[in-house]
Formats: sequence, C-alpha cells, structure tokens
Amino acid sequence: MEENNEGNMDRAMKHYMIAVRSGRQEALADIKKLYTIGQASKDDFMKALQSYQIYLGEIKSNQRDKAAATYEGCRYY
Amino acid sequence: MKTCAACHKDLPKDSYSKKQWKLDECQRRCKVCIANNREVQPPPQQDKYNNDQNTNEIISKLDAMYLEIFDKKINDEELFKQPPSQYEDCPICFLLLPVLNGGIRYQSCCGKLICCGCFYAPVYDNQGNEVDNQKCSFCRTPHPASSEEAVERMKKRMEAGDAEAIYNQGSYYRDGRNGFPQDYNKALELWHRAGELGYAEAYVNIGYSYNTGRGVEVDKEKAKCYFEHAAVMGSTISRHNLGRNCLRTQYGGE
Repeated sequence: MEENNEGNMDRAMKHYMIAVRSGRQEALADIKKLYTIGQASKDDFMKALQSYQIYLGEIKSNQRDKAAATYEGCRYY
Repeated sequence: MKTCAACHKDLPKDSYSKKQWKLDECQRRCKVCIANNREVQPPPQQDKYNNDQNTNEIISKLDAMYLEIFDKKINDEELFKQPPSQYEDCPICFLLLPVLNGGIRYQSCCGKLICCGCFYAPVYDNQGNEVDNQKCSFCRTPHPASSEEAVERMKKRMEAGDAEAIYNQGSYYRDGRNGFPQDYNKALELWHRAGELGYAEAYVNIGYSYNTGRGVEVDKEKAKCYFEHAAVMGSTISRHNLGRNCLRTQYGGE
C-alpha cells in the first residue's frame, strides 16, 4: 500500500501509540526499533511503555496467571 | 495449516522450516519449493471464477457493498481518536479481555467470550472436592462432544444474528473446513454482514482479501478503506498494519 504523505513518520507514530494503548505488543516492539535507529524520540518510547503498563494493569489477574502457568496456549500478554 | 505462496497448497507445520512458518502469507514457501528453487507466484485464477455466469452478479454485489462502506468516509480526526477496546469485559470476572488469542475462549452455547482464567477455574462440589465437570462456566451447558455439534450450535447462533458466529462461518467457507465447501465470495459476503453488525475483525479479513487478491481482484485502495474502518471500530491488528504502511514508503519493507 502506498501513501504519499510528507508527514508519514507522524502518522505512523500516532497509529502505533493507539495500537500500544489497546494492547498490541508488536507495535511496542516497532517503536523500540524506531527508537534504537534514532527515528523516534525518547519521550515517545517512554509514553508507549507507560501506556502498555496501563493496559497490562487492566487485564492482569491471579486466575489468568494460574491458567497460563498450568495450561498450554493460554499466554495472554 | 498454512498456504505455501509458491505451489499454493495447504500444508501442515512439518513441511515448513521454522523461519518460513513465521513469514507473511505472501512470502512463505514450503521445503519442497525451496529445494526446487520455485519462486513466489500470484495465485492461479480459479476456473470457476472465470467461467461462472453468476460472477458478474457477485462482483457487482461486492462492489455495491464496498461503495456502502466507502460512503462513510473517515476524516483524520476520527481516525486518530482512541477507539473503544476491541473486546468487552469478561462476563464472569469483569476484567478487560486481553487482545492475544490465547486469553480468550468462545463459547458456542451462549456466544460469550470468556477469559482463560474463568474457563479453566476449578469447580468444587458441596464436600469441597474438585470435580471435573465439562460445562460452560457462564451458562452451564455441557461442552459440545464433537466438532459437528459445535458447528450445529454455531449455525443456531448465526440465525439469531450473532456477529462472531457469522464471522466464524465466513472463515470456514474461506478454508473449506468443517463440512463447508471452499467459496471465497460467500466468505466475503458473510464477513460484510458481520462487519455491519460491528465485528471489526471481519473488515480486517476483507482487507486482507483485497490485498492478496483472494476471490477478488487486487485493489490496495479498497483494502486500505477496510483497514481504516476496522481500526476505528477498535481492531488492534489493523491499527498496527496502518502504522507499518505509513513507514513502508520511507524504509521499504520493514
């Protein structure tokens, strides 16, 4: 897919931020990659990490951890 | 089962190397194809697709469906708003359902999505002994004994208008499993219905179909339109794809 916008980096970052907030781990990995090659700022990376922590806090529970430890195919984060 | 992009056969996991198994659908090649140096090709046109007299009717029907979607245009302000979460809370423990598939179980009896914690929670009888009862933890209906029974229940849910059941049936038509014939057009139609009922993942699958040319002609514009609609409805995977596509022009590939 082609998108000939000038501010592509901006748009991509916005998309990634929303994806991370709603719990996509791959998006966080992509932001990390961009940060290591110097395309994303430190602020962005920190914000992404924080919003992923908030998501984890919403979904984590003892019961789910127990199921994930005892049964295969129950990894939920 | 995944499809090889060179010979277009559905093959089990053993016939791919570990590296190839993880690749995209359009790049994956099986061991035989790598040994024979067969390159990735576009899928062959199905004879049925060319000869069928109904083809024009079906294509015009799909076009009409696309135009309906296209009319609801999305501006940037709407696109970059934080969407509602993809799944609702678990109906038993009232915690948010995780996005990863491992944490969710679909119950064919009541059509609810239940988190893995509540699904595997131990059940005790009056004396306090653990019992192994094979019942749905939400509605207490026994689990289906076979896959046929599960499909039967799914059909019932579909008639009642459950978006998830309609989407699942569309996936069966795409893969040709569980006693359904392989029919991409039927699958697209069902996914459209599920999408109208508010199931975001259905629009993601239609987007993939337009991207790779499965049952329809390749059309990147349409694919993007569907991905955006799915993203606004809360699908995280299409949101991630949109972000990647913005970068693709700058870095080429990854």
